[in-house]
Amino acid sequence: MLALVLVISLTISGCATGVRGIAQGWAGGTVSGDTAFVGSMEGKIVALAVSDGSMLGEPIKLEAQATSSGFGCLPTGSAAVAVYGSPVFQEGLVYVGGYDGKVRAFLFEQGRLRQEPRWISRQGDIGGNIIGGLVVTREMVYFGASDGKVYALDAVDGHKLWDYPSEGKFWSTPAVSGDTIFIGGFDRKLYAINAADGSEKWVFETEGTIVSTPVVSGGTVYVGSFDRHVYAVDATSGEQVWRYPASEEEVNTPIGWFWATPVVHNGEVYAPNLDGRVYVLDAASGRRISDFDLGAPISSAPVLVNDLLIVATTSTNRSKQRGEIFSLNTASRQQKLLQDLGESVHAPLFTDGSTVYVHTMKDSLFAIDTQTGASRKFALTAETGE
Amino acid sequence: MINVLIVLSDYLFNSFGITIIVLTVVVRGLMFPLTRRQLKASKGMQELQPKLAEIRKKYARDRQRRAKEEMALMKQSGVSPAGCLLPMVIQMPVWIALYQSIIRVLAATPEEFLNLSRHLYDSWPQVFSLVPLGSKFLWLDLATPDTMLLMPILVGGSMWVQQKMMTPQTADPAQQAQSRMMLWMMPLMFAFFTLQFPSGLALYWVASNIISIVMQYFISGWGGLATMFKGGQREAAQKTTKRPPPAAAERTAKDAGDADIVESRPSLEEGAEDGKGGDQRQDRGRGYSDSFGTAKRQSRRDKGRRPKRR
Repeated sequence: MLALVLVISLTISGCATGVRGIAQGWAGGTVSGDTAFVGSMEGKIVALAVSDGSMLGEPIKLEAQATSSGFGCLPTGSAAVAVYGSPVFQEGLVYVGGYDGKVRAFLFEQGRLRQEPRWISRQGDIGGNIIGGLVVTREMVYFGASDGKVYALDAVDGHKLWDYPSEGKFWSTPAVSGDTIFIGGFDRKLYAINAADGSEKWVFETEGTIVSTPVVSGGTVYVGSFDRHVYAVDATSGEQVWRYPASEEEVNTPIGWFWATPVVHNGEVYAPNLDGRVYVLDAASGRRISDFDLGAPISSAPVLVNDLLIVATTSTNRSKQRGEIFSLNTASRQQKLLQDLGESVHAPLFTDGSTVYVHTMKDSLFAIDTQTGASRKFALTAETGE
Repeated sequence: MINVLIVLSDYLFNSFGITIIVLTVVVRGLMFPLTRRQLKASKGMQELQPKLAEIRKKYARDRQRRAKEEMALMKQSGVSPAGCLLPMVIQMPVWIALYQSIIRVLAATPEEFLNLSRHLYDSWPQVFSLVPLGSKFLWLDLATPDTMLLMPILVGGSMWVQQKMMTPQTADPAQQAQSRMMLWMMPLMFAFFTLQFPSGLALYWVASNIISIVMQYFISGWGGLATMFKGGQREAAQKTTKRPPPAAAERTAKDAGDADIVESRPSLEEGAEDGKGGDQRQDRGRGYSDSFGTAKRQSRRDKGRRPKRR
């Protein structure tokens, strides 16, 4: 009887099933010149030389947070701050938002990251976790948080300028176009907010949660939703231009959530879905032109390199992880498997214009040549890398 | 079960808290035949405890014979230890599935959301737009532990009551010690877990415990809890009715039930003082004075009656 009680307690504590997850983070990165800045899964900001992957200075560990252990059965390998949003480099400063609800700015000078932050957002200024990425202009830093607010901080010293409250959480990265911020939330709404003072311009309601980053092109905002539709909304008025699929009678409609950010190129919208397909839609009418069937869920934001759309898929088959990188030719509609990294990919892909960088869930950073598919693996920790 | 939880929530005022309670009731209802069998078997085992204790005492030194006699007794009574355990083991996967479904639906991190998306049915399109579910219920955020600490108390308390009802009465000190340990260990352990886990799960545990208590009451009564109450009542009764015994001079003939012997002694002494012979004294009562015979008749009359207290 005692043994049975122990088995029950272990199962409930999650040791046996591993059901209860923790926030690990899956930050992408950014490239400036020949330096890449990446948020590692150990909660560190790493600066790398893209030529050879060598680290530029010591990685900066973000402030640790306490974790509950459940008798030590829950994974406690990472006591650092989880980072989901990609770091942003702007005018010598590297900005990053953490799961602990703080934004930090680090100075990068003389080829090194300074260990001490230039500034950290003030305690109490931001509630909730920061899961989406930051958008940084010359003067301001914009982001959404899980407390349901959109924030604007001063880019120079980090003090809060304004916040915009809503009823749902924000997990998506905002998009800025002109003087307007666009962001989608858990309350199924797409918001247009005045970038200067945080006043509301319009609100557009969908039928599902929005975690995907909106894309603005030609006066139209494109965004995917958990209701399995892609929306095109007029950026000025907030009126719907079109919705795909337009009706439920259409065949081969999307099955999963639109989680990853869409890409607009040459009058077409490329919308990745968790059902493993990239839907190609006419940007003006929403008519479905084509689709690419990649066979596994797409949660990572793709990138465009010339006419090639680089997409990462993730699957787990019999405990074996797969992270396949595809190149989709937008002109010829050909798809090509560049690499199977053997590691899950949820982080957004990033590029320097010719090479695509992929940060995996095993904290590896791969640099992949988009033409040949050749890859190099860089170390973000002492254990990974060639 | 994940998809059922999501769809049910849509019909139940978009309240995941109510959904958890309703689904717990439904699942426990479906498992009732097994639960009833388990409880009856447990009750049967409890009733056999005195006889089992006798057997253990009688064959304390002969383990084989003891085991044989115990098995024979259980067979004769139609009770089996497996009858207690087997239904619980069969129900365990269902409870674990319900627990895991609640945990998964209460996804709080991006990783958990992606994991949840893999479990949604393509053929049930409405589930995709219903997620995430509203996590507010009364004072609780179902996705996070209860900061007011009420849920750990409710979980631990309800589990303690349930355990107490199930605890068999036994004279065996070893079993008593084990029962006492189980009575306190499980509730404390679950109360501690509740501090760490989403309050939606705690809500499920409280609902499940209350249902168990109700089922157990109708099948096997209050069990160990009744003994606790009765023991308290008996103590209370003793405190309210206890009086000092009356002084000997104040006793009357009606107190003959206890006092006839006292009266007879003076008669014996009187007889002796009267000079009657020893043979008469050994006449076994016939030579005694009438007062003793009167007292004896009175004692028979008053048989079973309690003497009046003053």
